[in-house]
Amino acid sequence: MFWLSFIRKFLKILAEGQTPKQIALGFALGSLIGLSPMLTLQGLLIWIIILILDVNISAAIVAVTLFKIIAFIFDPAFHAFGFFILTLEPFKDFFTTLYNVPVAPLTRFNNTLVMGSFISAVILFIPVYFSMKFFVIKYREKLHEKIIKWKIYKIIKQSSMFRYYEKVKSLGGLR
Amino acid sequence: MRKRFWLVVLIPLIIFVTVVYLFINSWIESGIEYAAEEVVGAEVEINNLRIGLSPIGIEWEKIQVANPRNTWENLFETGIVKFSMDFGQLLRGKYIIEQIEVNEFIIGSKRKTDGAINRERNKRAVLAGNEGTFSELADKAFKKTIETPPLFDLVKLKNGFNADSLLKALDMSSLKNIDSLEKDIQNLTDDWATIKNDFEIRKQKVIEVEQQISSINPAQLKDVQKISEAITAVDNAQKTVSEISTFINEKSGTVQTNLQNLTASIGNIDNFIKDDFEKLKNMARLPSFKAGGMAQLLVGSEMYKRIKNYLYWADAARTNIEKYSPEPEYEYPPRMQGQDIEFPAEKKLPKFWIKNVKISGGNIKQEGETFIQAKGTAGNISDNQLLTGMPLTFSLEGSENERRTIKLSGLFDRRKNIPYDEISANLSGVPVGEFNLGNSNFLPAKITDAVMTTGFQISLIGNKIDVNSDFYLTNLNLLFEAEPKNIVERLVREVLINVKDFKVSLRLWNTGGNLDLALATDLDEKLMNKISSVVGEEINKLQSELKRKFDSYINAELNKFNEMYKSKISAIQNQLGAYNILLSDKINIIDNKEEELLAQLEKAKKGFLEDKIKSIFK
Repeated sequence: MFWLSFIRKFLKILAEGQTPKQIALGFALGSLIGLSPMLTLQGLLIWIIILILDVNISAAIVAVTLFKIIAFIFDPAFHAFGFFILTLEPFKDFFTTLYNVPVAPLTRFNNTLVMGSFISAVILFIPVYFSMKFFVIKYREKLHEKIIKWKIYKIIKQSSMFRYYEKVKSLGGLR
Repeated sequence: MRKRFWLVVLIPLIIFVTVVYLFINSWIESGIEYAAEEVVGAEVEINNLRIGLSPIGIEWEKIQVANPRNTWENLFETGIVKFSMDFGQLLRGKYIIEQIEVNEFIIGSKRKTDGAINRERNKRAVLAGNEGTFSELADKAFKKTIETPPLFDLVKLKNGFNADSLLKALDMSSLKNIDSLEKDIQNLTDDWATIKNDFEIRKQKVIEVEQQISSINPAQLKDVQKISEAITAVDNAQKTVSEISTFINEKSGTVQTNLQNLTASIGNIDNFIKDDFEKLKNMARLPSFKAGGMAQLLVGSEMYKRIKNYLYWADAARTNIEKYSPEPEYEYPPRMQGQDIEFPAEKKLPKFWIKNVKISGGNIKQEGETFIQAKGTAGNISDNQLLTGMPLTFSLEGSENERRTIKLSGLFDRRKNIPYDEISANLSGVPVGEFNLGNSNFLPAKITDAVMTTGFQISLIGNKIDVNSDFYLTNLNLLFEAEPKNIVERLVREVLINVKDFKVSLRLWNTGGNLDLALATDLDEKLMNKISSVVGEEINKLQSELKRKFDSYINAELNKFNEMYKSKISAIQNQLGAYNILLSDKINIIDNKEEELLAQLEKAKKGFLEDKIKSIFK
């Protein structure tokens, strides 16, 4: 049931509501959180940014879920990448200073997985944003018309859970 | 910016902050209780926890920690406890507490409710897990000495005594040792055979070289060039023989080392034989007329119970107080956990450090309650002693209505590679409700009323343990649970019946593997003298018979071994000596030949020079 509502929600976001930019930015910010393995200070800050900026929260949640799975699969690679960065000789002084200042340790930057996945997420941020934006535009232009004709889509849309969701959405002003 | 920011962010934020403000105390209270229960394995209850923001700290009115080994009693309970945390370090993710004040500290108070937690959680609790190494070793040591007590009933002893069948049933470690030594000798002989073959091949070469050198007659060589050629031939011969000599020295060096090791191992056979005879005596259940034997019989079972209590805590400390380990290289951590890389810090602090715990006893009086109010200190509780530079220490002193007193102190040092722990406990004025004497097979009796003073020291260095303990019982009343079954029980009873106090000393120690146990009471000598004068002669006879049979059996095996050793090892040593003599002879011959050739060369050079000078002046 969770996966059904997850797909429904995602398709709904893609089809209507906010602009492709808002959806893509929400999705890209969500990817930053999703790739991070644990609760960190930067994760909390990104959540606050998502809440403050006018970006799509549902897209962010979708991205968090999706990128958590990706983070799990690529865990060994992120660990190795983080280890490589944290043991780079030129950065040693910088990391040592950071290690000694207040607050910075709360980011857990000295954890190989946090470092590896965060740097990867930052590098991927722009590509994820533009890819998502492109995908939303193309989806709305071409794909949506085709998908709404699929039987499976009709079944999903007419399910009681979905109608309940729609009702709550209209009441609470959620987007 | 989101258009309805206040709706989406601010209102949820205000609600969140309000909920947190209202419930944070109880959340943290339950969190600490749960975490502490996971460690202790029994119920932990905190009353009225409050969080202070300036300075950041926690305070609660009372904490009760149930004893996991007796859940109707508290391990300890306290009154108000308060502490504040270093805010600067908290921002660095470290929990540094300068001082914890613990008021009204009480040990061993009775609980109104059962402090047990569910079995699954108890099983996985840090302090309620499996018994540690030292407890297991103590188990073995005690069981070895107290499970098969010596038999004092002469009729039973004689009827069940058959030296031959006992010898057959004995698992003799001395024979196993002899077997393994025989194998070592065989291996050494095989190795020597290979070396000998190699040498025989080289020996031919040495003989050839020697013949070649011997055939050179320096007196016949008049020409400088011929003499030089002969010297070169001798040099080559010297080189060849030296190479062979080095080869033989290397090989024989290994053989010599193995021979020395073998000789050292042979020296240990006597110890194995001694142990085997002790085992045999235990199997025969022959009583030993040594002071310790009586103490084991009288108080062994009771001391076993009491000592296990202390070792349980020693094991728990050894297992759970963390040892600093230097930062490893690349690790393979579980998924989604990563590896923390440490960087140099100006003033590096551990993640968790309570610098000082000040415990005050208070002055609580409750009718009908028995508990100890204690005061003292604990210091440097941390997860990394290498960073704090100080070991964990504690010291507690307490009393119960000025009657029962307790002194506890300890040190747990994890700063070096080898962990070092020291625990000391002194209890006095402890009323003893029940102290068992003897066992079901020998003089079942109990002390029903006495006052006990106990001193207890445990020292743990790496895997070595040394436990020293004294139990002094005074004003005691004895209750014998059965009529004496044999003469020895009757004699012991006669001694004990007039005893009003006695002392038990215990030492439990090891130098690596198994534990040794020494138990003694101040009544041992008195008891043994009385017993040995009556039944000693009979028991000595049985022991002599057992010894005679054991000796004849083991001596036969030893003789066989000695013959084998002499024949094989002497052969190796003789051959090795002969090879060394042969080589040094040949080397001498070559050296002498070289000297003769050098002298001849000098002579030839001189003649040549004289001839040349003469030809100039002709």
